[in-house]
Amino acid sequence: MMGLRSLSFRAKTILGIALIEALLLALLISQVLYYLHDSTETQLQQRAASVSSLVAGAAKEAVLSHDLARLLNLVDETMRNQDIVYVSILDEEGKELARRGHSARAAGEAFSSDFHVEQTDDQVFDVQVPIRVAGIDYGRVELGLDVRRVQEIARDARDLSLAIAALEMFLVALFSYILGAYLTRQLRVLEAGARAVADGQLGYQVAVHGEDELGHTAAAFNLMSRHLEEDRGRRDCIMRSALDAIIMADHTGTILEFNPAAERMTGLPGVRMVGQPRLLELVPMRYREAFSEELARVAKGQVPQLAGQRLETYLRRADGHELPVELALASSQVAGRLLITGYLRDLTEERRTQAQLQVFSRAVEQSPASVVITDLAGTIEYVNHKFVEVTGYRVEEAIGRNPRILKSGLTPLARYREMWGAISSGKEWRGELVNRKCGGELYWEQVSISPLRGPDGHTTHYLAVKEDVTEHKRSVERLMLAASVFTHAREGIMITDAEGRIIEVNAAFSHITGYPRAEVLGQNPRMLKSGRHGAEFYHAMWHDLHSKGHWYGEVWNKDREGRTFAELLTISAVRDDEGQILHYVALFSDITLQKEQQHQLEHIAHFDALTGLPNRVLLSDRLHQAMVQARRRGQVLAVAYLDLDGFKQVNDAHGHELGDQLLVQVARRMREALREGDTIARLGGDEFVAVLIDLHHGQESVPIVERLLSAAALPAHFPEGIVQVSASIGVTFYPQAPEEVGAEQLLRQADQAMYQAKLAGHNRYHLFDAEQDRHVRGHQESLERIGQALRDEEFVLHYQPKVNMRSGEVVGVEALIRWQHPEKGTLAPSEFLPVVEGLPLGVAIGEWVIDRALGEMEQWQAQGLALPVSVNVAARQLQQGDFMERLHALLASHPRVEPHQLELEVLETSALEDLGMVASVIRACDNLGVRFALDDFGTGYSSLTYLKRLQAAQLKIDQSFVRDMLDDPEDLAILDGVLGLATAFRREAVAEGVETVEHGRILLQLGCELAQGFGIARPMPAQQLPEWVAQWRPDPVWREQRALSRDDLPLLYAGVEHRAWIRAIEQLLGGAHATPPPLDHRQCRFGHWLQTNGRRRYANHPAIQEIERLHLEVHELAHVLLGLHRSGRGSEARTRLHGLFKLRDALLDQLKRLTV
Amino acid sequence: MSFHLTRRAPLWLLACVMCGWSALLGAEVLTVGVVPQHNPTRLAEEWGPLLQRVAAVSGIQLRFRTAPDIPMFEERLAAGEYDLAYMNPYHYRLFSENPGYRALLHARNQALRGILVVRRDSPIESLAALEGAEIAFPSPAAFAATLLVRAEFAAQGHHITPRYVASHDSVYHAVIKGLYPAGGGVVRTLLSMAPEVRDQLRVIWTSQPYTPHPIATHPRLSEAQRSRLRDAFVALADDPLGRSLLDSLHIDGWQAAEDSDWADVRALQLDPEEGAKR
Repeated sequence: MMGLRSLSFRAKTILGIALIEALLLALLISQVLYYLHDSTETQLQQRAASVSSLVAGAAKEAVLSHDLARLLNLVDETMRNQDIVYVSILDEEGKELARRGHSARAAGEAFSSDFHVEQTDDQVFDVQVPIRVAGIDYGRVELGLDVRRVQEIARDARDLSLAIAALEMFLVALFSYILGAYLTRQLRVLEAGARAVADGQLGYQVAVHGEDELGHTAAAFNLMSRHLEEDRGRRDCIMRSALDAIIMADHTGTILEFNPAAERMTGLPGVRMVGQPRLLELVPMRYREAFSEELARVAKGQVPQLAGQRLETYLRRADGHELPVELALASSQVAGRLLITGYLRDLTEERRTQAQLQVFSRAVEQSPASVVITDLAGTIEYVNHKFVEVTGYRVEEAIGRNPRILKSGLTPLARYREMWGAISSGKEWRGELVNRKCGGELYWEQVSISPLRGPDGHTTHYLAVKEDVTEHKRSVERLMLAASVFTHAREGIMITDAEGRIIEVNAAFSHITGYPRAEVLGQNPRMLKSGRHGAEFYHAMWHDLHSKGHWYGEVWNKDREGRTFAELLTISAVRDDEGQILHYVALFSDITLQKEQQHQLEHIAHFDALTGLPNRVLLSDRLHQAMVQARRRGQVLAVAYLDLDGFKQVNDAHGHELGDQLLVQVARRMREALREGDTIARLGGDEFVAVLIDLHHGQESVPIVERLLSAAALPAHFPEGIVQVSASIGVTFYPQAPEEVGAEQLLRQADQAMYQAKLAGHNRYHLFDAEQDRHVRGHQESLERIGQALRDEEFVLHYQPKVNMRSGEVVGVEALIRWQHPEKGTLAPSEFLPVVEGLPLGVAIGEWVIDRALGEMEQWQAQGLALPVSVNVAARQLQQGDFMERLHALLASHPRVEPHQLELEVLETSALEDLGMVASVIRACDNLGVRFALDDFGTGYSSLTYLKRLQAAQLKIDQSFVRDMLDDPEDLAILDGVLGLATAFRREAVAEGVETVEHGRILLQLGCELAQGFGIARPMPAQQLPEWVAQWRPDPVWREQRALSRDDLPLLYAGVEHRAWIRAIEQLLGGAHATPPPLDHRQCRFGHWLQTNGRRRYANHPAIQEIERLHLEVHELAHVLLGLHRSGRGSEARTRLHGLFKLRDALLDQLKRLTV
Repeated sequence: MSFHLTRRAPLWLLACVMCGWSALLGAEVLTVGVVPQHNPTRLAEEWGPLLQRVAAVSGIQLRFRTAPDIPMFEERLAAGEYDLAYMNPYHYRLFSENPGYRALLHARNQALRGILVVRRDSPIESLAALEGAEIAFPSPAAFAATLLVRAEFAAQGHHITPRYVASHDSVYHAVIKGLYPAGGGVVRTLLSMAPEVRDQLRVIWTSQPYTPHPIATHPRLSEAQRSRLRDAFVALADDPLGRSLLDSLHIDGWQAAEDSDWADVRALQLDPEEGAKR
């Protein structure tokens, strides 16, 4: 130990470094050698894995297809790698498919693991990898890698690292020797310098240079000597430059120091003060006594320590004025004498600042915004009065706590993070917080938080200025809600300012008009004008807007592409509190489709497709108008019912096509035979009706009728030859005193007369005899007997439910009258109502029905069943002047029934007879709460104008359309159109005549949910109804059926087309002389749909292929059946029809899958 | 690591030997040749697991095999190399005569239809527009894709030059790449193509339906073996695993077949050498 301690510093250094270095190098080399060994092995394995996987991948397809040539090729390629010793590819049984090179291992010896590597001798590394597809092995690849080269590289690396270690040992020894020598020489110089200072040579400088630790020590030493020299000079400088007055005195009051600041503050020159006992002169008179006593106590040591005391007092100036000053006193014993030093700071400026600060403070305290000041940790140091008022926390409750006492948990956490992010990086943060008052109530605050910085620019506090925006927030939330409605509305919405400039539109607006939002902002809505409406239209619109504040109607506009479209538009003026118009808000929906459908519908509904003549519907309308006109003008009109003689024979002999051509020619000639204003309509088949107007008496019609006869009897020329028919005509007149007759009755009369003409031998006319008719009618149920039945209570009501097919809700029932005749059994209304039509007894029966229905509703209510009941009323009943009063009275006598539970159904056709009157009754009933329905809707002249005027809540779609829609595409189209109308006019649509589940399913697909019909329930007596309602459940198919999108509607039509096609085949096989439908599967309408729309839209649907197959089969089978039919084996064909039906049903089932 | 494994080598050897024994003792091993309609990997992916399932049910080991191309496949069929083979109806017509393969099964609810495809954007709408053109086909004897399509060209009196591109996949890709204006295929292989491939093609003609590809057995198979295999194939449709395997083949299931089911194919006069005629 002693020996080691006596070693020189230099020797210790060298020895220590060398020892450590040797130890570390030994560690490092051993580690390097270990890793070298390890990585050689890893490298080999990786190489083996990559080569073998590559070969296995490349060999996969060739092995699967036993392509030996390709395998040999692959093996050769692989062998080009110089480190590959051998490659072998085997099949799953271990049979060798291809090999190159030689292996030490036994051929075909398989390993059990997927990927195998092993070293069989010193030179070769053997690898095996399976050829696997979808988890199944189809063979394997074996190959050997040459190991020697990799091992050589490892040996070289080891030798090199040993050489580097030896060199490093040598260099380290050399460096430590040089370092030791340098250190000891510099230390000796420093030692000499320190001895010099100790000897008193102040300012002695040592000559040691350099940037190392020794150099720094020497520089510090030199600096120290210079500082000792400068010390005195500095003290003088401080005294001279201090801004505070510094006055030093001893306990006798003799002044020892008096700096220039003291001279300025007191107005006394230092030279006159220093050395003089004038301290007391500087103290105001009133404090002098106390000051002297205090001084004495200090001198006696009674006041132990003065340092650190500060007080605010006054300094007396030479001129006698007093200055406010802050005085700091310090006492110290210097060389055994007590010295007192006073530092005085002029407070004049500060006092002024303080006064100002008080004003600021009051301003903050009384600020209308809440103010909170916290320290950097967020602890509240100050809150103002407004804060207390808003939050309900008292000042003392808030101080010292964290603002999170206000947290409601409703402000998103991200916002707090954002806030802290901003203010902790020194930025201001503004935002909104949802907080909770002391009492728990929520409120919204608009908060601005900013860091308060000290004079040095560092943040010392946070300042929060907060405004309670709860009220504002609530109104904004209401606005946001409105905005959300705005954005998501399906109606287009456009907002303009008071000058009509567009300031906002929603997405639906752009969708409908094609204008993107950016393109219309600032524009005037007149850019959308289509030009279809005149100036007066817009004038009236503006007039309504200014006077009533809103306008509602239909407008034709044009979109961006210039296409015109119809919209249902509501414009409202938005006014401020003073009534000034701020904005106009326009809300519209596109009803173009409904308009077009309506147009089509009207055409289908009013004209006969073959002859172009008006059809039965339009005839009915014209006849009604003509009757009203004849009554008003006191004129006569004639109705001529015309049936062609021998037409059937022509059809049978020459075929339908020629028959149709004949009808067209005859129709044209008859029209030419009439006067302007007369109407001729085709009822169907070979039946026509002419309405002749402007007659003064019946006889005037005779020449016209004769012209019709000769027009019909003219020969018609065809390439096939000349064809001639004649006509039989029945004529009746209107009016017929004393009885009032309706249009239907007139047609019946004319029909009867025509029949007479036929009986009398063809080609003639017969005039209807009203007298005789009345006589004949006597044989029907007599008025007398019907009156008796009413008195004897032989009438009863049956009820047929109306339901929502999807929800299963029973939405109401329709009351239907029955006569329980003692002899004839139950009679339908058609047996007795026509007799009383238009008579007071008819009105009485109508009232009985309403009264009875209300009575039975009361009974149901007593059993807990509240169902709306609809009652059929005749137009004649509505025309009674006191109808509304009677209805009122009936409702009043059944007070437990709410008026809105009663519905009145009026036939669409009869409502149109006196539109104005019916419309006003509907309005009056609406005020009373009683709703109206238009019955048999679709059969009348349902124009948009009429529908608009009749405010009926419900449209009951005539059952003929519903019944036939399954296999008549035209009826389906009409039904779809009528439903479109109902939607456009926001009327409820109820489908009548739902007879099967399939009817209901199609209706639901079309979006019609309400229905009535035998498929749901037959009319039943009142007492059976409650039980029925309790047990009825809709068919499960209905529950799941959703309305189709419009894009899917062609699918529905395709199904119906297909049924229609099958029905046509069925009729052909049944012997009907119809034109066969297209037999080629590409030509029929379903096939056409399938090839275009169907394949395009459902290309990826799995069912479409099945549909194509079934469709092909349907056609093939139809071919076969028609072949049998033609070859006289019709009965065999008919027995095989069920096969066709089965295919049809399978195909329709697949079609249904497409919509799922 | 490798040195540890080496020590276990004797154990593996033992395991391998035992497997070999069990094969010798009982399990029958049959090869199943699948017509190379697609590339071999895809075929192996579709058929391998399915055959394994059938093997598990029938107790008969089945080895999946295919050939580099259709001519090679035909050669191997002619040599009777496969115990079972999934071949096209035309092959069946040939090789049921010699070496006498016998139909065992065919796909359920499926008919084979030849189709003619063009690129979706191609203006060609009819066979007539292809007069004199080079048309891509998988191989000369591919039944629906080549023979039926060529027969239709011949029937309509249009001359074309066939080009054989080895597989159905290649036909579709060649048409998409515009190498040929049109190509012959079948509905099922078109449907089994990826949707993005299928969407680039348009079918302009579809043949009548014919009985689809049979799985046929070599006459060396016993009736007992045939019946076990038939039952196992048919049963696939009834278990969930089997179903998913069938789905990847785009087949609804297998149904037992008889030789007479291919009478429709035999009724056709088809000859790949001369082109095609009805």
